[in-house]
Amino acid sequence: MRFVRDNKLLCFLIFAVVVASVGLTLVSQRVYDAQRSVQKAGRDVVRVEWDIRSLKAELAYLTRPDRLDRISSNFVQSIAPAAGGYDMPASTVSFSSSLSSLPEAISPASFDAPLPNKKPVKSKPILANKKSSFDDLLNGIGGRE
Amino acid sequence: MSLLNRWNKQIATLISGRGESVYVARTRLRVVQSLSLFLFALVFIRLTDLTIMQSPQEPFGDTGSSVQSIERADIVDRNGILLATTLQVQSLYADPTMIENKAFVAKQLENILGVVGVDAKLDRKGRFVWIKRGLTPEEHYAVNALGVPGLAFRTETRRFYPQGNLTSHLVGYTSVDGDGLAGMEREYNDRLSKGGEALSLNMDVRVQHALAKSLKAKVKDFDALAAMGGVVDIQTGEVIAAVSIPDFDPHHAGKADKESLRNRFAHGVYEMGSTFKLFSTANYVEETGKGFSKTFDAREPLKEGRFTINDFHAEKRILTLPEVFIHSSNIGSALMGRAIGADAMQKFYSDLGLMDRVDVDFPASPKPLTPKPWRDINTLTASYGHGIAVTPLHVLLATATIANNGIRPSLSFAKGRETDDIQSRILSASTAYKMRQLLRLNVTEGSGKQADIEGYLVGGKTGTSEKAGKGGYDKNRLMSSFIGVFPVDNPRYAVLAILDEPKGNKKSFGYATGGWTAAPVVGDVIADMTRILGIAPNADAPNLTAGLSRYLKKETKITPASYER
Repeated sequence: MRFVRDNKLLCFLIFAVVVASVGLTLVSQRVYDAQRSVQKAGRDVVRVEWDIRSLKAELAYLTRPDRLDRISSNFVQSIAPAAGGYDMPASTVSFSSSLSSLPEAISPASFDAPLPNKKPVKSKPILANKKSSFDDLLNGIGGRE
Repeated sequence: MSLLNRWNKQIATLISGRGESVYVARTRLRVVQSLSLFLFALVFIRLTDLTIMQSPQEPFGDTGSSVQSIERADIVDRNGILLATTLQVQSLYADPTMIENKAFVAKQLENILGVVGVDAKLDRKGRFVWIKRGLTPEEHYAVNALGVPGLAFRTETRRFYPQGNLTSHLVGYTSVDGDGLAGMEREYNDRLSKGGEALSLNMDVRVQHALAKSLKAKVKDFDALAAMGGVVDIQTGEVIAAVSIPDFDPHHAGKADKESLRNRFAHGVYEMGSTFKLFSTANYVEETGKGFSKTFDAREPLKEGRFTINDFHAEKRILTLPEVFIHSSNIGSALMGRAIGADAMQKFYSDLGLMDRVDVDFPASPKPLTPKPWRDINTLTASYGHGIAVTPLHVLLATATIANNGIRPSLSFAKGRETDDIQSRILSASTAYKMRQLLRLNVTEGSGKQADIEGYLVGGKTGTSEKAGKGGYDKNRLMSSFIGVFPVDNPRYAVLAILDEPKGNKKSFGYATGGWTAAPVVGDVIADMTRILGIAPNADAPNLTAGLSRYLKKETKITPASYER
């Protein structure tokens, strides 16, 4: 204590140096950690961007017009009108041979009316094209026939 | 009394006489001790913080797979549907020195990857050999599961085309190094290489599919060699669809044959035949100011020097201007050409863009084959589409000009294309209207009936030309085409379909002309487009052909002076 009393300035300087070095060390470590976090976040962003691109490409492949065409034609063919006691699903597509056989267009004002609550009808599973897959795309298979 | 104080006192007693300096030395030692303790404490605290307190979720080091930044921009259609993108793939390489049982590993790899010759690769000297590049995720997983040291992966990028063959000619493909080699990949290579925002095309992939599907069906029905077609927005010049069949898989363009790689739509030049009557008739009406009452003597073949011009299914009578059009009379058109004259026809064709390369953002657009020198006979033959060969793009551009009220649009494949080509008026609005009337008349009364669809006004012109062969034109090798415009009362789209060497079948009664082969394609495509694009039928559309029936008489009684001969 006598030393402290006799060397107040020196002790204060030593104390200041210690505090400053502790502070700087903490700050530098935090900055270093933050930089690493930013770098890691950057890498994660790039990684996720690649994943998103893959998903978008897969979505584009799965929703190709020819593929949807094939699936829809399979689906329509699988729905056959049955004799008596069969509720046709609301989503049944019917093709008319001429415009005159189609019902009149609904005016926009009628869209405000609430739709009747119908019990959902189970539809048959879509016959997916088992040959098509994103792996086929990567293999170069699955192009237009 | 504390231990430290007692110790101090003992030392002071032992070293009596030197108390002051001992005290100073002791103090200094304490300071150094404290500082050292403090520094060690700092390190200890930091270590504790890093290892126990923070408890990192992810390893700090690199996992080994390099995550590359995205280099090449995507290509999308007008609705944002992905046409081309760059994806990361894993490529497998081996270090043969680290593989013990090479034969076994080679067999495993061949089974998984479907490649051959792996054993030869593993027998090579050196520490690096590619086994297969661009593995699928399943292959990657399976090879990884083998757990063979000496097999490793490198992350690479590869261009993918989700629409596959459908857009292969239009979008094109790239080299292994990522440089565009064909199509939009090549045309916009610099822009795509910079990355960033996707390149948006004017193409609608749904319309593209409708056109391709219909063309392929007709190629099959008529056993044609090839087919091509396109859809253009008349008002904006946007190319909505462009198809060339046969097509190819853009992922394996290097393995495709020459015929498949050939872009017939943009690069093939053909004599279009009677579709040119649309242009020569417009030229005649614009140049002479004559109307529908003008007549032409088609009773006998037309002779010009040593050449004789005949009609296919000749009417052998005097024909009015509309009748020349709907019966597709070569004689009538040749007489129009004679009346127009060589200079006027060349200028008109040049204004329509038929005499030079199409100014469009597509690589290697070819120049048409035009007669050099242009003689009188060439004027006659060019009036019905022979002796001059153009690309399908030329036909679409010229038709769009006529249908667009006489104003020539600027064609473009990509959105926001900058061009110096200014929209200019090529022919008067009244002539353009007359041509629309004739186009509609041809569909209702002429050879284009199979292009008509209920509820919509479709106009169009058929074309059937014989292909040139050894010793002249070959009657058995045809180019059958149909150019359609709809809705013809207020035209918005031009649709072109061409079949190369179709052969007649039972349904077509043995005919392979444009009316039987190409016109149905245009009808199907327009029908699909109305659904895809939500184009409602117009119940109030004017009847363009009202009053034209008086020009369609079986025998027209007129004086010789009034008709062209």
